[in-house]
Amino acid sequence: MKNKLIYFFIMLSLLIFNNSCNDDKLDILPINILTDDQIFQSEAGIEAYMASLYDKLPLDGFNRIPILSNSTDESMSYLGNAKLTSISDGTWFPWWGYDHIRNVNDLIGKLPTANLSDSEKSSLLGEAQFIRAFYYFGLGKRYGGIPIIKEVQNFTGDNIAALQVPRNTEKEVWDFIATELDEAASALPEINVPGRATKYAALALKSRAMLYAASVAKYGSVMLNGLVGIDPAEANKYWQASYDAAKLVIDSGQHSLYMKNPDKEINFTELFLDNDNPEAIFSVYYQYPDKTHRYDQSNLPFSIRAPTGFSSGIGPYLELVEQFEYVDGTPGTLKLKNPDGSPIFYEDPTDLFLNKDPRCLATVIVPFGTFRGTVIDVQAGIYDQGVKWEAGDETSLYNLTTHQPDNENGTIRIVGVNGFGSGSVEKTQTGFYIRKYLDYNMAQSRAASSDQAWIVFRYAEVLLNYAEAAVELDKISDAKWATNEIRDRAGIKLLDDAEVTLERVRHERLVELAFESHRWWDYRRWRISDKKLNNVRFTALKPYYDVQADAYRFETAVAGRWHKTFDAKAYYERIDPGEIAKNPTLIQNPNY
Amino acid sequence: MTLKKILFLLIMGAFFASCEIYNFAEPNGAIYGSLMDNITNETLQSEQPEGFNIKLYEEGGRMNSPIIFSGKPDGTFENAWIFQNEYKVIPTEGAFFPVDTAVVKVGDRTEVNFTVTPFLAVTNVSVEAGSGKITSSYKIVRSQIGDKIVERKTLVSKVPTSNNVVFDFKSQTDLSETDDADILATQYTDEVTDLTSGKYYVRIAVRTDNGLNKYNYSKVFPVTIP
Repeated sequence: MKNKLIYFFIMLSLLIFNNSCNDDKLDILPINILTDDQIFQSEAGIEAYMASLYDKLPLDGFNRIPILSNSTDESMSYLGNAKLTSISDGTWFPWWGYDHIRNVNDLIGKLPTANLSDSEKSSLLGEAQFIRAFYYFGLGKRYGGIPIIKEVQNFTGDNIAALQVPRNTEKEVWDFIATELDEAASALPEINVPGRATKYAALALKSRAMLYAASVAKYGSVMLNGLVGIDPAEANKYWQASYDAAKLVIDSGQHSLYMKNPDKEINFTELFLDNDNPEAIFSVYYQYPDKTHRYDQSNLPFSIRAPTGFSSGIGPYLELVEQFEYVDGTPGTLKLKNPDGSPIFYEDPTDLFLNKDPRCLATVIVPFGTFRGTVIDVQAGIYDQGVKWEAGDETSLYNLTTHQPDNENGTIRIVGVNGFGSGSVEKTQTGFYIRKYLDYNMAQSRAASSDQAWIVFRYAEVLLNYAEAAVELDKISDAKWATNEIRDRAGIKLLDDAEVTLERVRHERLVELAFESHRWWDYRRWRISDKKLNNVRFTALKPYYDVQADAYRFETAVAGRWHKTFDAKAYYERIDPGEIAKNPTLIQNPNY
Repeated sequence: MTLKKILFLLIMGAFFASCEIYNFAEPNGAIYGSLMDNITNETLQSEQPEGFNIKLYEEGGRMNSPIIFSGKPDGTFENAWIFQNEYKVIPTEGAFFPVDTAVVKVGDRTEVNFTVTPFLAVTNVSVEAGSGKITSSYKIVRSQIGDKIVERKTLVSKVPTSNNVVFDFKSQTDLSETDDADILATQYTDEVTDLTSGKYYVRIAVRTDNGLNKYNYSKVFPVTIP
């Protein structure tokens, strides 16, 4: 008892005597965080800081491909979930990156005092401006006009009102992006370390951004006094800006289309996997095992999925497959039936795709196509003596002697391991799987940690930007040249003068850039999403094995249960109400 | 043992008896009304959701975020769960030209009506059911010139809700290349075919090139295909 009392008084006295109110004692710098001074005074510090800025670019990269593609007429999710098989109502893809903009503004503000040579400073400033323009591009394409913040804002205790900046007009945002990228392009080097911006990355972004601005002006409507929408009279100025920026990239000769492999299909597959790629203008690199992504895990066909599970994230529609023309330039409609309506039989089911645009087979895995040595057997059922059998899952067998499903003595499968039937739903609902960007060199066991690079800007996109701007400006011969560069590399018939229309140029863009997160935004900026996606379901291709013919026949069916509808308000995203609560000067976009 | 029980009860008592019931009264005001279409002199035909919205700005409200709720397809609206107070009320984001804000003292259940000028109206409508098909006939009119008229549709639905996103069959015609004067002078006829027998709900939808792609609708016509 006595001891306890002594201890008590010792503790009490310690508390009292150590409770001095020395202001500085606790105000020590954290030892595990670098201070601004340390970072901004060395090149290595700035490089590390720059890496964190690059990391936050709103890229719509590998993790976004499934949801963006499945929100269009490219593909659908296998999930029978209304939300995941439906499409965004304007609240799914928010990006309000003002925290990152603050970081890049901080760098831009402090660079002039950094301990570096003038040329280093100039190049780093260009890089920072490229990053900042990319951030604003991510905001502008979503929200239209948003506040343009160029300097770090600081709270001084009573300046809340000054920090609550109202929205700029949409036109001001695109003009700001254009100016920033012009400055960035003149400061950046022509060649840089892989993964860092070059002059041509800035110009490629400019050509894309100006297409968006021009489309908004031409096809959109001005609302909220210009906070969203641009005067149509401005459209040609932006088409021209896109055209000019793309032309600078083209004329430089620094980049070219990937043409290493004479086999067109293999070439278009390798294009997305080869890191030594003259077509890649700006890429995000990954390196196993330090920095990886999960594209393969999400999207591999069911039977060769990663050991971690998941698969089949993207089920391309028949419509997408038919958008790919035949090599002779005829429309890509598949030949499923004879003129009299009877089915056409294919001994080798992949013969259905003979003479298709080689990009088709490089973009999707067709039923019974081969991937990494495995035949992806998507079979919907069996025809025997004219009777169609499609019940069961991949374990259900069929007895050819009794002509009945028979799991005991059956000899052939009714439905494929990779699709259709009533088994696991984690399989394609359309008959197709995605192939683009899937790394067939990588072992299945490692598929949860992929490290192929994400190509943010590739030369083909610049050519297509150029073609679109040119056709909008009525420069038909330029549009023809650029579109034919793409078609020549792809291995399909070139267009003649009369065929170069806006529709054909857009079509080439949709096909070439399928599943690269473009279509959602392209439909949106052309303001055709609500027409393309108005209470519609798309189509699946179902292969059946015909026992008597010993061959395959194909049928089409409606894919999925849920209709897709794009609500016109989603041409602009909703500004998070939380942001409006913080800054009452922000005006919400229409109809939210 | 008893001591433990007593202690337990004391603690529980302290736990639950800490504060008095502290709560606000729930909202007990209501606002309702309708939008009158000044061409047809009936309520404005619309859709739900997103047909049109009512925005309420509460007097003395701290934030600038209004209370927003959707109107009903027949052009009426009601919100029976707001506080009794003075509000600025504005119907917006519908297929009509902007209207003036009304200032309304909302009480127990307060009616407020608006007259709106729709972008377009559908008049002179007749819908006939044939064998396996539906024929609609109608005229597009307007009282104020706005954006270009771009589209007309006859929507056929198996459920009474029939609008631009809820339909099973449709006939759709692009009018963007047709002169407005010609459009307004024409009595249009649409035919929707390949229908099985049964009950259907038919509605005409027409649209100008307005920023939010809002449609003006006819009433819903129930028909039965023999």
